[in-house]
Amino acid sequence: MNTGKHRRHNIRTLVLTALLTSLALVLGYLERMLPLELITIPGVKLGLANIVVVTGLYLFHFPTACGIALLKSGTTFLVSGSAVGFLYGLTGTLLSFLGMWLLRVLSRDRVSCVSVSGLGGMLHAVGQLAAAILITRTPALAWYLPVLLFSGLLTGSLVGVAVRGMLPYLLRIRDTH
Amino acid sequence: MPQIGKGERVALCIVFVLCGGLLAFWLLQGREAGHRVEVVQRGTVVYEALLEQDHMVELEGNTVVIQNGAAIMTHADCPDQICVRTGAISHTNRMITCLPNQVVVKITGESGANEIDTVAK
Repeated sequence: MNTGKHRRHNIRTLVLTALLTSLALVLGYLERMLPLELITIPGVKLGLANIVVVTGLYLFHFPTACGIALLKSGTTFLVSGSAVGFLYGLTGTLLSFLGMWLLRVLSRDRVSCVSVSGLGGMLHAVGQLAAAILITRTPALAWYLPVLLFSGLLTGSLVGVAVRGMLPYLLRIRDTH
Repeated sequence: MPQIGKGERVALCIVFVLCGGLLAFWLLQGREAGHRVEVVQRGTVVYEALLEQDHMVELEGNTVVIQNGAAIMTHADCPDQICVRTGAISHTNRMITCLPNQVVVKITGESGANEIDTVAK
């Protein structure tokens, strides 16, 4: 039956979305437990929770994938508890999501998720920094851009590698009937 | 999953080299002894003076101490404590930033005409 199939598909999307969102929460929490005391540049982090955003980008249509990106920002806020930090992160997440979506669509999937995620990492840095400059009204923060771009590219690409490993299995779950 | 194509590999390498170069440039930029220190909160300059001048700047949530020609964030109530861990800064092109509390401590090179005027008076 067509409607039954449709309903099963909806439930599967709902369950996968919920799983990915809770995964974002756990990854965000895990990252906070890592002893990264050496890092003294605001905004430089692993961004493990972004694994979820990139995964969502490859599993779902735009609205659901975008929803997952927003939910990831929300869970990061729950873990960190910093309202201003949430605004920086949200801007970065949205800009990076849109950029990754565009690269994926415009390249018609000929570019792998490693590059897509690498671009996402860089755009995340740009968005975050732009929000920080606007909110704190301190243009001098632009000084951090080179470090943030490089760290965004590096961590973004690594996130892409992780997603590349996971995706075949998740696609199988999504498409099983 | 399709393999990562050759063109994509080359492009990715180029982007990495460009960003790495930018980072190297950033890391190797000139660091001379600074002369002035500026504390900015939410875009407003809260404190601005010669670095030699010992002073304690108390903000809501943050404490900046300027002592022995260096500035250090001794206290912050933010969760990440990045600003406190940055330690003391005394050279140009160095900055302490507390993003959650929107505080930036900046060192500048110019000895500043203002100070000379004040001294002359």
